[in-house]
Amino acid sequence: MINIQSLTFSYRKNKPLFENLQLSLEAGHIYGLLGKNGAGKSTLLKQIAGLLFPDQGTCEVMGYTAAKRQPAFLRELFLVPEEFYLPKVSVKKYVNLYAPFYPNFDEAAFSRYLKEFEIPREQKLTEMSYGQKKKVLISFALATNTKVLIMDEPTNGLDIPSKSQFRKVIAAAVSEEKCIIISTHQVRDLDNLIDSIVIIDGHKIIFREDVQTVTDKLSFKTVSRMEEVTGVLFADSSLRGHTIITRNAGNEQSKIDMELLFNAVLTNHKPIQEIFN
Amino acid sequence: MQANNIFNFRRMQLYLQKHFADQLRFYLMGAVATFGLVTLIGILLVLTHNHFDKISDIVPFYYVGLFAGGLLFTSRSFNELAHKEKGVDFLLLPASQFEKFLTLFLISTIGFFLFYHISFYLSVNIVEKVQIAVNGLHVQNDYKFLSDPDEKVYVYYVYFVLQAIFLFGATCFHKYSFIKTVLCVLLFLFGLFLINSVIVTLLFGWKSEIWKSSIPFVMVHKMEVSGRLVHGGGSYLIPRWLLDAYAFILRFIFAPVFWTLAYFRLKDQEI
Repeated sequence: MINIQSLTFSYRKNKPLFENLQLSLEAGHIYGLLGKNGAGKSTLLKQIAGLLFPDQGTCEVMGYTAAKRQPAFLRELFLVPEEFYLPKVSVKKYVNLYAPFYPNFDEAAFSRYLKEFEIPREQKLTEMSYGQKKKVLISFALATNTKVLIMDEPTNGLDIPSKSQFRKVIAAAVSEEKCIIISTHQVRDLDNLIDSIVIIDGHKIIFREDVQTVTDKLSFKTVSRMEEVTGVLFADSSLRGHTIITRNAGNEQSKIDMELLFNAVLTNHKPIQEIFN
Repeated sequence: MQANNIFNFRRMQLYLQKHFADQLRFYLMGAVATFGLVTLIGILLVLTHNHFDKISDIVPFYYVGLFAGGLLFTSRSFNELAHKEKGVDFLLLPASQFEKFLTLFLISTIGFFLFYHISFYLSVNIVEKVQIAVNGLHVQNDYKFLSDPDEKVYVYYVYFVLQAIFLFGATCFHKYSFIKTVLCVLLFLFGLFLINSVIVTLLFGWKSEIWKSSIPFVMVHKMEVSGRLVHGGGSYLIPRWLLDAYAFILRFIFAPVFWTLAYFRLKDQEI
């Protein structure tokens, strides 16, 4: 569905953000795009949406060259940017103005999502807080039923109850035809939501695996004494003990700790990568 | 490529609706401000013992308003691109770049032109009525906008060329587009003047300082210098066929070229 080949891009000459980047994303998945600040998450999402053009290489989405921004491509893609614009109209008017551009827009689903987020439909967008506006935009994005849905830091600005509402709403909207990409640096917000992890660092994709594969090959545990375990790939200590990642030798099923995995991949990339190769 | 990826009537209609819903407040405020300003200035002049005997007294205001208003309005055509959030909304809305361009092109060219003329006509009528009430004077219609001489029509050609340049400028400069485009036009004209000066100096020499008295690439006025005395010499005008070629380019080439450049520049926008 999304096919990025040999993508090179830089904002400034001789300072490439991506060099020869390869990435292929399929429908039916929710991808979590993780990376440090400035790693290029938003830039990669913009490349996919056609808002930035590759210096070299190609970025094809659903068979379209993203940079051409053709209407047939745009009506099957929705981007929820971190900083977004909503016109000064009511929710109803917003839907009347924007929904006709999306042939698969589902009004009933939109109402359901708004209800889930506890947003009154008659309220004017100008009278809403940033978080409420974001929830309207997320609801609209999901209701468009586009094949590609991109969300850049969607949980920023959402309060704690809203974050769990967000997970619920996204989980309800996923389907075999859709490819959802969520970029975040708040990895815990995506717990139990994403089924595939893409980590971007140092100009390229350094990790791209399904959550199932990760839990098949790695074990996530909390131990009280580090001396009790061997073969620790990464550890993070806290008052509750030591959270560790080890190779999953005994085929045990453990719950993935996204933050731990992210830190492990960044600090101890080579041994982890060897396990997946 | 599918044809409807370039233009679809229904989509264009939807885009126009969306654009006007977004910009309605600005357009209404702009329209009221333009009409109000022109009318108010006219009425104030009448009330302060000035009077307009004939249309030719009003014409300078008309031309200044047309050029200043039209070019300022055109400069903010792609204002959305100056703001990241609005730019994303603008570029990712599922309408073609051609439909988006056409919307703004129609509004900034035909839309403004029509509005300005209706507004100015109404203002002049109101001012005349006030003038009749104050001192009983009618405004005589002594001015032909497109003839007498026929070359007056070139004012409108120049306006549309400048409008096209400012539309192109709006796609190049997202912030302070008007000022930056004015600077670019001035720099370009200064560059032409310099090139012309060099060529004229090479042809006629330094002494008579011909570069001071020439219309770049059109006419040279050669002064005769004898001793300390400088007296009028001859004028050298480019041939008629070249003048006609200039006129043709001004009338039919410049504006469409800059409109086309603006369209392609819009297609190349990144955020």
